[in-house]
Amino acid sequence: MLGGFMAYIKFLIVLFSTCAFASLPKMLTKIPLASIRFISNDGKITLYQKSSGALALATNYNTDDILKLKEYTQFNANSIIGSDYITIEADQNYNSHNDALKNKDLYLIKRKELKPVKVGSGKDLVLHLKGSFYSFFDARGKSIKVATTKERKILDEIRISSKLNPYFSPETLMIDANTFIYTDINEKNLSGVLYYNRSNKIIKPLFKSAEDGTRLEICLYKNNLIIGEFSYNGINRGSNIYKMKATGNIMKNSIDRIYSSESTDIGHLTCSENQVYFIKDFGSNGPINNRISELISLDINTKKFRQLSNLKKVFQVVQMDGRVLIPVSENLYVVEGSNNFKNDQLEKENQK
Amino acid sequence: MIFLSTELEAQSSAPGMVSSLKKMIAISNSYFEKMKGVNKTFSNKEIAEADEYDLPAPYINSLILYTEAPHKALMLNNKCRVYNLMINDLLLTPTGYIERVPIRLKKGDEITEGLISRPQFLNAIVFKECPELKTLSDLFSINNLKKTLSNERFSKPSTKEVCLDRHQNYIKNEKTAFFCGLIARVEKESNLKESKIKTPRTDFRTLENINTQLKIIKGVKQNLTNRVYDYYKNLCDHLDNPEKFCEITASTNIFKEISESKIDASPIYSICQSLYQGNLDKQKIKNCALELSAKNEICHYGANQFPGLFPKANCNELSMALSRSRIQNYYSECPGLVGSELAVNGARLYHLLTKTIPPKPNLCFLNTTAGFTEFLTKVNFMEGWNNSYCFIDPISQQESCINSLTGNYDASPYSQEKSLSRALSRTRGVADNTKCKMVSLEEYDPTRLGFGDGCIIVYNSDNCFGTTCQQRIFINKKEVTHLKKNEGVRLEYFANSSTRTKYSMESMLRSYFKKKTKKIMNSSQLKSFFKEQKKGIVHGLGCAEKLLPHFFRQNTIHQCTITPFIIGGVIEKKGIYSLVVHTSMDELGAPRIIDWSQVYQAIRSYQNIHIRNAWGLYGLY
Repeated sequence: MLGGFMAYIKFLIVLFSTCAFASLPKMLTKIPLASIRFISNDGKITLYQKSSGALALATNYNTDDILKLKEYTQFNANSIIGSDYITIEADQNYNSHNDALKNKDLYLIKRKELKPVKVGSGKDLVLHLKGSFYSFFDARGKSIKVATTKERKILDEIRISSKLNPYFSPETLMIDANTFIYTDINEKNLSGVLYYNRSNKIIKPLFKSAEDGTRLEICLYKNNLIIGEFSYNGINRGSNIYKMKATGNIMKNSIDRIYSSESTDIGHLTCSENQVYFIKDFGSNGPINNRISELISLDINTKKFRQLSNLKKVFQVVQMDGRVLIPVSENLYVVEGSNNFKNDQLEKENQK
Repeated sequence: MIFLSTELEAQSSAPGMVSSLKKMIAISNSYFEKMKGVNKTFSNKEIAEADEYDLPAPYINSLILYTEAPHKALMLNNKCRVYNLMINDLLLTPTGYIERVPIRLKKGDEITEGLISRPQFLNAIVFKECPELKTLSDLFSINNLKKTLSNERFSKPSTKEVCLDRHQNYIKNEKTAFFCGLIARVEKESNLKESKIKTPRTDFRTLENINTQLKIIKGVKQNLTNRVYDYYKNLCDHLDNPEKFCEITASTNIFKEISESKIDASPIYSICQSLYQGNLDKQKIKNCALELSAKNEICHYGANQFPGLFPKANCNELSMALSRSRIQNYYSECPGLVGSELAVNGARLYHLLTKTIPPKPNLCFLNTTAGFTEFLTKVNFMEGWNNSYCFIDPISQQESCINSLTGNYDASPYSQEKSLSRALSRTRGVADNTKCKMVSLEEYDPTRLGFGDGCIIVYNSDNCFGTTCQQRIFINKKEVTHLKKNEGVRLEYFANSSTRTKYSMESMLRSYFKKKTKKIMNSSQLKSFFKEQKKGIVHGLGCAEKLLPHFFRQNTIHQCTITPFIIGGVIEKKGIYSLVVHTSMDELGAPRIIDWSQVYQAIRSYQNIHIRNAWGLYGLY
């Protein structure tokens, strides 16, 4: 009876939330998309990888290898709006050593110089505070390392306690040069958002899940810390999203729930300059675990959400230098930012 | 002469389509209200001497109205079938179970209406009119129940069609109401126990009645195994819904089957070992299986001793996955501590194809690494195993390497102490049968007795995996520094470049086990493969970010954590497929059910970034 009532409520939620998706444009590139690892927001920098093990920079009618490693090296690259730096992760034994916890070679390159500098060994290399800081995760050593891009010296090393899931990777962000925020799971399988004060090296819990079996995700949106609490598949704890002011003494700021649902949303909370996004579960028609999931944007003030995709099977959302993209099989759908399409008709005619 | 129902009969003469439900309920309630004032009862003699008798129409209507929908399916417009339900206490009235029955007797021209007790009605009317019900009642009496049940054959229907056919036969079979009667009786147990507590101790009559009923229930339970109970509970709940009955029948609860020793307990061994500390005997396994069948969430957390992707699937999903999977040789392992998903899947396939269950080692990842290196030795490709001790050979002055496992495993030539003593004997003159004790960093205390002399390998338990391990070696307290340790696996799952095609995991498995391979591109091909190749195995590679999106987040546009997997089976509903997937990050006994389109996206995303655009799903047969 309760289940039926809740299903009705869910139906109403879906009915009254705005549903204004149009078909999303696909990312368009001159070089095969599968080779591309990074395109800057202005389209001026395109990094792509070669099977020879090189990461190359594509400019008009010209290419330059900027990093040459072992044959078949797999590269990943990214950056954030306002940062002078691009992050690169290089896996030199990508196909021959399948290890989800493997540390990769980590590099930073300056947009203007495009000369890679090795900064460590780990995974999940992330830029913070417009690229003035970076952090990465040493999956084997189970520690987060924090450094400045200027000095490239590890200034802080934070041990995480998650032991239950060997594949756990913490999410990280910085609010200011002193405040480092990350996620962890304790020995009782309770997830938490932790506050690390860089000046006194003290760790304090900022938010803790009330129930086990959930995972927390974090992002920063217009001076607000957004915390997503999502369930793992098969654990019916529902989904919640909270916001708290990321200014002043964050430990004293109140927390406000801005989204709550009984569904097991995939999550992948993402904050761009303009929106807060996550992937929402829309139920099932087929056999067990055959779910429909779509990208949603959430207005943190009105608490209304809007369905943005109509792809049925959205599992991931990626931010690349300001663009928000949905990767589905071999395609990238553009949710925010340009799809890189440039009409070069005139250019061609001039060449004639 | 009492004509209680005359007026009401006129009102309820056209039930169903004509009378609204509300009206029927009103008539029924009004009839039962009036019945309260009826004092007339009939003796057996009066019944025997009557020319005719019948049951008032409003009474019959109320039985149809109040009896539970599944049980109504057994009525079949047949008087004896309705009586059958009454015998088994499955007919309900607005006042609950039937204790007294209103009846109209006709003798000559005179019609009299009155009440008779339920036993009186059964003996004087039901068993005379429907003698087969008397025979069945005797068969299902407590005294004969054991014998009756032992003659029943319970087997899982092989196909949905067989199941639907069987459901139809159950509806026609008069025994079904008796089975449902037993189930309904058992279900009353908790209410009766509650009533017993609430009944004043001075109310002897009620207490005696409750105790008698509880005693009967105990007798019924003693003769009904969990499996038989579940089977008939499902049937009786879904007599009016054959599709649902067959859906639930197909999804056998594997844990209950284990608890009744119907199938091997190996799939649940590691979960149970985490739940029940220490050695598992037969009784503990049985208790554990019962617990898993009753508590859906308990399966998420059995992980402490066998680290893998966490949390695992819930018990319902796990039961369905295990019951649909082709994998049969479950063994304890810890994929999260191996450090190579390829080695995990490779070892699983090797054990599966050789039909072996490796013995339980002292370090949980050795089941994987010892099996994997055994396979590489058999195919003469140990260069795929990079874990080795290297040194400059004193004679040739060239680098020489000796393959090694992490940890000691007597059955393997690559047991760490064997490999290490060989390397030390060639470089430091240490006897080549030297035993090296492995101790964790936390345990190691050089000042204590036992840690002084001999060979000691001190490992960091927080950073020690089957293919890479942070460790230091001491000989007589002196640290060994001249040996270089290589680590990891160097082998591609599917061939990457033409020169190495022969030495991919997939090609070596195919050639060693003399198997054929079939590329599987869509769900229809997958279904056909499982149908045609009864012993075939489907395995593949995909990106964890798509295969397990709740666990792995994609941060860059082509991020792909390569994840080998085995597909154990297919679950179909309305032409849509979900698959039983044993990922190399999950423990072997903890498969997940994953939507086909998700598996497809995982494979397609991997293919997209693969150097040769290689497809990643194949059937071995």
